[in-house]
Amino acid sequence: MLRTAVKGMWAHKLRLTLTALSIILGVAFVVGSFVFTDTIQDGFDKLFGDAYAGVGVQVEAEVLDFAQQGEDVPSFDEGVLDGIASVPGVKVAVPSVRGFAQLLDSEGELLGISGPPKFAFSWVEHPTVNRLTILEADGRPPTGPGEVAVDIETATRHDITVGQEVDVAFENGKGRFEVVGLATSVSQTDFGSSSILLFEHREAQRLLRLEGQLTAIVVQADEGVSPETLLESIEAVLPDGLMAATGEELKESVVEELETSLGFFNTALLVFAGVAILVGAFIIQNTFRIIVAQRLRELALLRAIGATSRQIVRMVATEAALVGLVASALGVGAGILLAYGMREALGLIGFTFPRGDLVVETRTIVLGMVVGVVITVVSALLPAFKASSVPPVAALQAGAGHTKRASLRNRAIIGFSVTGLGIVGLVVGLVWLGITYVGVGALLLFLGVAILAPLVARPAGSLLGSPLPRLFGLPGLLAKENTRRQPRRTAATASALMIGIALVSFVAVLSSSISESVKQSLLETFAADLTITSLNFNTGVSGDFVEDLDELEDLAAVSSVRVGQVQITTGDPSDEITTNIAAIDPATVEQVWSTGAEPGVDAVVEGMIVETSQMDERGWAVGDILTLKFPSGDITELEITGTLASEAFGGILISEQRYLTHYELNAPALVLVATAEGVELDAARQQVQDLASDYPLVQVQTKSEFAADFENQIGQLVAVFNGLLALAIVIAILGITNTLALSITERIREIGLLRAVGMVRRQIRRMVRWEAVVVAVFGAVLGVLLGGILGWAVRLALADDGLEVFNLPALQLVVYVALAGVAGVIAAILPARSASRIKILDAIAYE
Amino acid sequence: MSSNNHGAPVSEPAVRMVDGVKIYGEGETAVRALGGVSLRIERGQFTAIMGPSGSGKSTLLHTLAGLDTLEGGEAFIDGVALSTLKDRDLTLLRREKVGFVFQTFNLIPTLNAEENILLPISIAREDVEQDWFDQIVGTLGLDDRLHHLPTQLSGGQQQRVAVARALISRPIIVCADEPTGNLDSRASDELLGFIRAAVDNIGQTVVMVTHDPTVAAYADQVVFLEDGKVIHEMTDPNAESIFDYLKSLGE
Repeated sequence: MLRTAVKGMWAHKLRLTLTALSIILGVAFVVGSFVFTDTIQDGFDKLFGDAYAGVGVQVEAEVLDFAQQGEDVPSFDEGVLDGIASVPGVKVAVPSVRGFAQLLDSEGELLGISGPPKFAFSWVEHPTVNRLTILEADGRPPTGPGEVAVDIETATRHDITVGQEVDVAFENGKGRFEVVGLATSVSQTDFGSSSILLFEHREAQRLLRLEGQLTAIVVQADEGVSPETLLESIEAVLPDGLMAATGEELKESVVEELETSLGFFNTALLVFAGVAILVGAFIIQNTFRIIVAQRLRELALLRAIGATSRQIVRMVATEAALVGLVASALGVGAGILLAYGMREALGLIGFTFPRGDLVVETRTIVLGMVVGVVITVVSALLPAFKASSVPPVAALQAGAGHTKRASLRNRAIIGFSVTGLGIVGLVVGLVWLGITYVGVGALLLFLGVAILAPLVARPAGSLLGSPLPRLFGLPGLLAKENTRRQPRRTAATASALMIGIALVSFVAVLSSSISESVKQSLLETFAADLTITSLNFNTGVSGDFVEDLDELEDLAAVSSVRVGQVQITTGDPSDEITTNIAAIDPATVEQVWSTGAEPGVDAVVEGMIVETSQMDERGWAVGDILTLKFPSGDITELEITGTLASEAFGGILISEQRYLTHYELNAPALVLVATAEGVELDAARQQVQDLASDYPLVQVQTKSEFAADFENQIGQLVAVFNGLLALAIVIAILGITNTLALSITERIREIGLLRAVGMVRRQIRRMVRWEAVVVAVFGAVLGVLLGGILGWAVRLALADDGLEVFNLPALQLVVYVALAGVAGVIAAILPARSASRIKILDAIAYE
Repeated sequence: MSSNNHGAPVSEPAVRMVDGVKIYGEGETAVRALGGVSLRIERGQFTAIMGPSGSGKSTLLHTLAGLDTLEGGEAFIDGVALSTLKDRDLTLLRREKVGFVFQTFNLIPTLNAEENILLPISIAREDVEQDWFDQIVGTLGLDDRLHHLPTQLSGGQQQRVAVARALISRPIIVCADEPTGNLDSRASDELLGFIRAAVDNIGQTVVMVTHDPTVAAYADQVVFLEDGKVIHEMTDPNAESIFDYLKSLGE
């Protein structure tokens, strides 16, 4: 049977190529995701290994691990240094500060993309502690005020040379420096897109506002003293609020943190890969079903001469396995290329990663192969069983139809059951159990609708194809009729496209609802005329700038909002949550933000106020006393003293004063400004903007600009999602091409007849093209409906979490359907061409 | 309906071939399907082409009808040399001037009888001459079958629909390739009666390939082919005379 399978495969190599393509793409996505994240991981592992190579023990301010880490870290008094240095076993203890600094271009704009960290370090002059070195050819280390050394990759990227003057932005201002040297990592590892600026130690302290402060002490042990022993000795003398760890421990904790976030990233990629594979499975199944149908007589002949039905199943399954094997192998190769391409493409837009070879783990290859082969075989099993049920007499009956009408009822029953189960899953997931159930529910919903789709394929073909006969005459009529003749085939092809379109529609509906909700709540609840934020994601608004603002007489109120991480429990450690907490100034906040606080914002003076629906969700009530744990390690008990209507900033508020006592890094996330009575907004803005000219990171926006900015960010996220879903859509379009190509081989005599009685090639192409368009539009309409419903449901479930508005982006959805139509035209190019080139005589003589 | 209405010189036959040569394959395996055939199909005539399997009779029909091209010589439809035409013009010529009836698979399965009959008209996006349509449909007895799909028609009815389609565009010539090959003798007689009537009543020129002497007997003349060459022509044939001739060949 293996030989028969191989021969069968070879005989249908063209149609199998397209099937293989859908497997290749799906497997490539899976493999690409793993190779990409493994490679990044590997690069950073090396980088951190390098960074902590010279560290025996490092002393830092104590920060709990749930705190978000940026360029800024808490500092401590430098007086500690002497105590550490005199601990027995310490060979050398080197003081260090680190913070944020970013290069500016000649226009005063920030250089380099935001995201990757931009560090300022104090230059450590010690041969073994040094993680960075400045080679003789690249200048010298910074030795005093006005001098900076730049890491060599950043310098290369921005054409910075030794001797040049550069402007540098800090959280609280900017300065001009002479570049005196270019720094290289000791082991030549590069830093990806992050940048490192080095200053002389005292200068660094001054620039980072850390006079008399340190962020770390790097300690090396005497000969023969292990880091662990050293750690013990240091811990014995360590004051409260400080912690020490060995270099190895630090490296591990950083690597672990990175692994977690890369793991999330990989999972996200794999979800999209899964979608692509699901779509691929539809296409494989459809292809094998058509192939089996076309070989009905051949299979029946095999049965007639004595093949058992099990042998027929095995033959079809073997054929699928062979296709799966070859395609998966190609997919693994394509995936490695994809990972390479992804890294290069991200590099081109400024996201560079530490250099290194691509990491292709054995598990990646195995997984890719297994996924590809299993999906192919499983998808082909249903058609295989159908093939095995072919009665031997079918070989003798010309054009045996072998379609059962009764199966329609079963289909309806199964389809509605699966759809119902999907809806249950969705509801259960949305209301109680969370995202996994939503995912499974959505999957079942897709499958259910796909099972039901053949039932509506005929009427849908009639409806969607109705303008075709009038527009294109006979080719149009035939195109319409062709979509109706095999409803299962049409439906399966359309369903594959449906999945991708449903997901992009879902994203469109949800994102536009988010945008609209945020915009409305911004416009409704924020009375502020101007908003001030930091251009760097990791730092807040400069405190100096806020002080300057307070001096402006044309402003009625300047109110800061600070946001930090906190752990909250009601006493039982098992219900501990980590969440955002925001701090407001009760004296000024009402002038810029209608919080809807009950009994009033002053309630924050005594305790905390919490948004109403969140209270319900967590089972809290006014009067409850909660335990709050801050990243600094401080623990305090606080009473819920009021409620809040707005979900903004996470919905839990404390007073600014209380925040400042618990958070050392406490720059405002947002400053809201109201102009004084009778002052023109433009004039006030100009004043604020003028003040901001000394603070390159400060961003001044009107309320509507702020909203537009948010919308823009959502838009970028949507673009990323759509980009990742594009592959699933491409696979679905390949599916249309595949089905058409298969249908055309079936209709070869019919096309020959049409050509004989006078249809020109253009008309044949038109016929094929419009069939593809109807199928694509059918799939897109199903997808848009499904995606719209999903978006509506998810929005409804999240209504309490700030998604108050449902917004249907109708135009966008219509555009999606139209684009699907265009995709149909593209999908039809090759099949239409081969149909128009059918030789009339071959077709007539075809048997 | 007179053949002169087609506007060609009276002396020009509906279809003719001069020294037609057709070779299949290459080198040693090459088969000479037509070895220099010259032939005139006069207007208003019903011509049958006969010959054993492999004699080239289907090839002759296909090259005469513009479905296939000649390697040598020339075929003319209504005075137009087919080798001078590109695919598009050849297709348009077939659409306007040639009607086809094949042995099997004559109808588009998704279209009903009426739509199948009107196929050449619809392809050309021309208006239907209702009187002409009614006359053909009436003559062929298809009035109550017009809205049936091909699968709902008997074999004989399907072939009658094919004949109606072949006649609808008033072609110069109708080419029929074993039109009764899949029919029982009653349906076969009926169909040939209709074709004969089209020749007699409206002056339709018909050329038909068959291997069956009783079928060929409906024609005005029979052309005998062997090994790609015309070996005999017979006018006013009957089944017996054809039989006799074929028998004489065997001896």
